[in-house]
Amino acid sequence: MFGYIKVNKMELKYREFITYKGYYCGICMSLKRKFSEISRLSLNYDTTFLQLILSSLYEPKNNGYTSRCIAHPHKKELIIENDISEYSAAINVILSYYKLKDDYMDDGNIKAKLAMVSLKKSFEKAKRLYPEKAEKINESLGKLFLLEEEKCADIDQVSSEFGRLMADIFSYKDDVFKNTLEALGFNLGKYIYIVDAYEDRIADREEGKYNPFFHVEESNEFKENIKNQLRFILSCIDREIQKLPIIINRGIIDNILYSGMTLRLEKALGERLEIIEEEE
Amino acid sequence: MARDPYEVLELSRNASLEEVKKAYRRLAKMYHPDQYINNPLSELAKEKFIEVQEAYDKIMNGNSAGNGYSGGSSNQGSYSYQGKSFSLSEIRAMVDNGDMFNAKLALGTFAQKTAEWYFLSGLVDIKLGSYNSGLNYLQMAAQMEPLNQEYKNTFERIKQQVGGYQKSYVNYNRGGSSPLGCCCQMFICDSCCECCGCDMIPCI
Repeated sequence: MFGYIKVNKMELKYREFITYKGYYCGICMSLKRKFSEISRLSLNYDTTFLQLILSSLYEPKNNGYTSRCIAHPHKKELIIENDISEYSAAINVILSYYKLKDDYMDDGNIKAKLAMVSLKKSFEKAKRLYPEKAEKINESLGKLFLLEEEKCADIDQVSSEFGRLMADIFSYKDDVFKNTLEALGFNLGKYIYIVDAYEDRIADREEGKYNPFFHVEESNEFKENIKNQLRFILSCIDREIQKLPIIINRGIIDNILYSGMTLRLEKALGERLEIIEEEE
Repeated sequence: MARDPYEVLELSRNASLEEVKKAYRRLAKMYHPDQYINNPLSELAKEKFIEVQEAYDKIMNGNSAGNGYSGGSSNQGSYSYQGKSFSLSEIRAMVDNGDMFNAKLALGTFAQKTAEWYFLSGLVDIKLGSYNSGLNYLQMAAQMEPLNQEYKNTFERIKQQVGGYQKSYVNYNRGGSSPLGCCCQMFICDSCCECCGCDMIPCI
């Protein structure tokens, strides 16, 4: 959704990069097969991270193969699909649909409405497959919507609501890892929300859109405070991941945690002017 | 009585966390219920599987009384003490028991805010995921009573946790030399290769 949680490609080993991409393409294939061709356009990196963590933790049997796809017709790509791909794909559809709905409600964006209509069928199917998750996501987003309506200026409150949404998404199974995955999702959600709000604060102010920092005066102190909070959250994310018995894909996860996320964060904080953005 | 978790994982007590993870993987695979479908041993395997999972959980979560949000029951609950007032030591007991929900409500009834009130509020808020106010409260408590060892230690623990992440970050980035410079080189190198027909870093 926001691209704050992804790899730093330049620091990955080649085989790690192929694997990461394999998971990404695996969700894409799942979207095509289980949902619709059009839903594939909604695929994002945050869902890929979900797929990566759950696959590394549960180590389901992978179905790996190479195939061409519309995005890269000239070349066969490695695709890794497993039992979790369908779940990640469904979550991706549900989140994308609500995001479009939010955009449409925000400013009557007609493009968002059109995309929403095209995603409607896939969304209904995802809801049927995972009714509890869809219900919880809907509930959290409803609360978030209300907080935004009343122009909530308490960053803890709004970011925690988004954290709870992500906690629900990450708790895949009711087992001994549920609490750790929930805490991981919660902290990721908070992280995403805060970075996003910080990065967009000036643009939001100009456009008259809601932002939890609308009342804050720009100062070094404010920035330091945000940085401290984000550093603390990063350490929480790190700690929860270390608690999981993950052996495979460690290089990719470390890359995201110690390089990809921080690189993107530096850009959001205005400490790095440009990241070489690869095309997607 | 439950067996020693290290014993369940067939490890010595001074095993590293890495060894614990590997042992968990090996045993969980061995006893995984999917392996014993239609097998007379399935019940026993299931028991073993759960025992291994619990042992793993005990080691990982007993080890780090970490800071930060801890999902599960601590953030939900119902207020069972309507209209009652509490002393700070009673609230401390709630915090120790992990009943953050009620502790938070009870703290809200205080008019006079002492250093200890700030300290407890900080602990509760951090566990509930309100990091902004939680970190501020803890700082406030430490400022009001700079000699209090408990406040100081809590602050130190948080610093250590953040420092741990920072250290991994520096290690990963090999001392943190300007990554942009290095990226540029890679990028130029890759672009040259692409001209020759081989793509080192294809687009995703």
